[in-house]
Amino acid sequence: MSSEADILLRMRDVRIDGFADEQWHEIIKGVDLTLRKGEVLGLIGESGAGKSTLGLAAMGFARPGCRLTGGEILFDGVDLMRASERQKQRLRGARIAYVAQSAAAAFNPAHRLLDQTVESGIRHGVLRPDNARETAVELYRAMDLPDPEHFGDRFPHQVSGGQLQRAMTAMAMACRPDLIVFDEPTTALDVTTQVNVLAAMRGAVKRFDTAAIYITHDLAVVAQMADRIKVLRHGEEIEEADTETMLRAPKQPYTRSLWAVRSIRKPGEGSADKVLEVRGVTAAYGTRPVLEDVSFDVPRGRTVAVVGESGSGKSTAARVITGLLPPTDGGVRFNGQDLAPDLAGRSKEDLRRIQMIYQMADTAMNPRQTVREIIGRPVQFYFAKTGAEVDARVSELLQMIELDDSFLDRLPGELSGGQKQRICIARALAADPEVIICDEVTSALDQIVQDGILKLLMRLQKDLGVSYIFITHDIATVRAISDEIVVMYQGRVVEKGMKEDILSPPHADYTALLLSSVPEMEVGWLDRTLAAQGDGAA
Amino acid sequence: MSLARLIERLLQLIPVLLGVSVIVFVMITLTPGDPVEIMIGDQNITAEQEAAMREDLGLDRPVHERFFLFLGNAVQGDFGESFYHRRPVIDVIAERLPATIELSLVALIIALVTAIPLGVVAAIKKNSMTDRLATVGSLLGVSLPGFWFGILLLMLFAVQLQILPVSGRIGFSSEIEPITHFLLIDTLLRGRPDAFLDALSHIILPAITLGLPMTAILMRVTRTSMLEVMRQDYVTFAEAKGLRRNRILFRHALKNALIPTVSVAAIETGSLLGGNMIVETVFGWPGLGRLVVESIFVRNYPLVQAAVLFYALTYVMLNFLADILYTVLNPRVKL
Repeated sequence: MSSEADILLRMRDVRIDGFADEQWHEIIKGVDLTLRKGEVLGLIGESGAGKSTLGLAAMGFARPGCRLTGGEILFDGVDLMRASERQKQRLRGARIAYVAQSAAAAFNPAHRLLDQTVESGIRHGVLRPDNARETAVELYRAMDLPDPEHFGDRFPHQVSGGQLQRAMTAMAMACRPDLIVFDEPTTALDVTTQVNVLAAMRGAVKRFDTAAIYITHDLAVVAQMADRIKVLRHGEEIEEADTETMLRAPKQPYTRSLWAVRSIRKPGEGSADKVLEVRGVTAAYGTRPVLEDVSFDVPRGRTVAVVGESGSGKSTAARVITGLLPPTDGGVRFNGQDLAPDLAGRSKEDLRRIQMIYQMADTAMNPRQTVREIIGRPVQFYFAKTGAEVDARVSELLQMIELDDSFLDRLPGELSGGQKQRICIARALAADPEVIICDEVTSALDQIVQDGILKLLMRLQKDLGVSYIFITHDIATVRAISDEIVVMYQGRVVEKGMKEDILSPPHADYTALLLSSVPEMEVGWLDRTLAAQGDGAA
Repeated sequence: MSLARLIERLLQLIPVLLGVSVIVFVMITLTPGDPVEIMIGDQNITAEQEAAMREDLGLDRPVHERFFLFLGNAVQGDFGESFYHRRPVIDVIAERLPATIELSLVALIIALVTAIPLGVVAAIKKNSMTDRLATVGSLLGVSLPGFWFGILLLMLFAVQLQILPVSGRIGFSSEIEPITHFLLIDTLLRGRPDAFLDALSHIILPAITLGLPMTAILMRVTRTSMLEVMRQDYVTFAEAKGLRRNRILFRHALKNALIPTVSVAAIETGSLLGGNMIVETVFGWPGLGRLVVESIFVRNYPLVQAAVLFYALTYVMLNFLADILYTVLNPRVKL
């Protein structure tokens, strides 16, 4: 169908080593990749599959701690494996551009957006300093950024995450490159923001007929962006096909297992017995109001999902419930009794009965403590147990989270992401709590690992009767685990009720937007959504 | 920065200076030794004469009265008379100040122009020979006592090699009519390059001695923060933009890496004031530091009080200056 001349990038048997545990390991084990002009290739896989490493290799770039060891990378006839640093510098930014996952980290905080947007264009001699500004403004407009004329005069910290991500795409576009490597560009964004960023990126790629490698672990997103999809695992290719075929009929069992995740659906169940009641809570950080008149109940042995985008007040609500932030008005009732507004006023029993699990298991554990110490501490603290009793209880807790005693003397650094989160769950369970607040506990994990954690939480609820307040921005997680849903927006509760009622129409406006923004795994979803949301707005 | 914020910051100086003056007053009053006795020394004088001297210096009054008198006068800019010189303290200090400022500035310049490039090179060539030498050097720099290092330099360059003078600011033959009182500038303004070189040869050893600990510390700070910044995503990203290495280092990395260096430099400039006392004594430098040391020995209360207050003011102003510089380097910070 297409001739050899169309081929922009050809990688053959690429091998890359990574340095870990004092030695080099092969992390990309001979991958081939072909990209034609104007084509978008989706690279998907779990974390550690080598997606980003391969994406960077397409620029002839090995990130710190990695080295290219074999194969060839031909970009428009130039072998990037063997090209000099000067040759590669001339290509990067000018003909191959990169859009990073965290725009907030990839923009230099000390320089204005405009200067950064046009910098590589000027340096590469593609833009002239006198017309660079016009070019940038045109790109900001193409990316749908607010006030494109003056957008570039701001510093990175002065614009939102979604705007920054679009600004980065604008920057990548500045030299009209032939190839853009998008490395998880929307992973850090809220779903409602993601839709617009996806649309802007895809629009720009189409308009300038740019080829792209789109790296993501989100299958639904890749379905909107890519013409073809390549699945990677442990540094090896599993399979590659055009998007339609790949979604409909994946050949390999591993791909099918990726497709099958997120099939957990628990039917919502109610309960009249309320373990926790949040009553008219208003709270502020200093003088800045964050929560306004927030009320909801937590039925015993059930799961209440609190959903909303970042800044909606979800985590602040958790801080009020745990007593970290005393509310300015309203309060929290626990088992029918008022809880003291702040930590200092609460008894040890009150504290024990409400536990918390955090998003970042990494930072929630002391890296110098062993699993035995981490889980044993609450056992000693709340139940005054010692020696053999503690050990016995820790073993029992490890069994509950489907790990065994061989983990007892490991440090957090020696655990995988999913295992770390399991240890955090065990630590919360060690207090034998009635309510566990789970703050985005699966957001940092791969989908397959997420599923494991969700199943574990559901089984523990069935066995122990513990209630969950499940804070998340991910609707798929909500569908999977919740009984009741509380939708928050700008510090207020906009809708609450049983899961089935909230998730089926009619919806409140914000809930409708939130639900419609969650990408679905089918080609054309983005276009339909944009059309529908456009109609809704009009 | 808004004007209101600037005024607020300046008003914050008042309690600081008030606190400093109380502490200095109390400490100096508690220090054993009596200025009058020191002045009398071996001379034979009557008790009446001694009492007259005491009254003349205002030392016959009770301590609290002396304090409020000092404070009341100080607010009006009158810091009293130096016991020793019998002239207003302010005049005596003003006379000695240019020498100290000149020495401190040269020390600061030496520290900045050696420490920052060294720190950057050490960071870029981490674990190289340069890095190791710089690390050992900076350890020595902070550990070597100034008086010892100064004497060592003197013995080598002034006594053994005899290429640099032993003490003072300038030789007799090079003395000129002052304009700014900064000799390195005045000699040039008067068209006397020979005198300029003479002044330079006098200032070089004390300035190196004074600047050494600061150089060492700034080099470490620059190296550490440069390494930190080099690990940031935006530096990797700048490489992905195809920028040249020097542009990445100086435009993207260094501007961010200098933020901690600036604040440490401001604090360390304050500590140069303390270093001055030792260095000026070792090198016979006619500046404020040596004057203060001499004044402490003879319990010249008014001068010591005024000088310490001046030190405190300088210190606070330097930190204030660092805060302003901070906002220039780091747009995320507002005062």
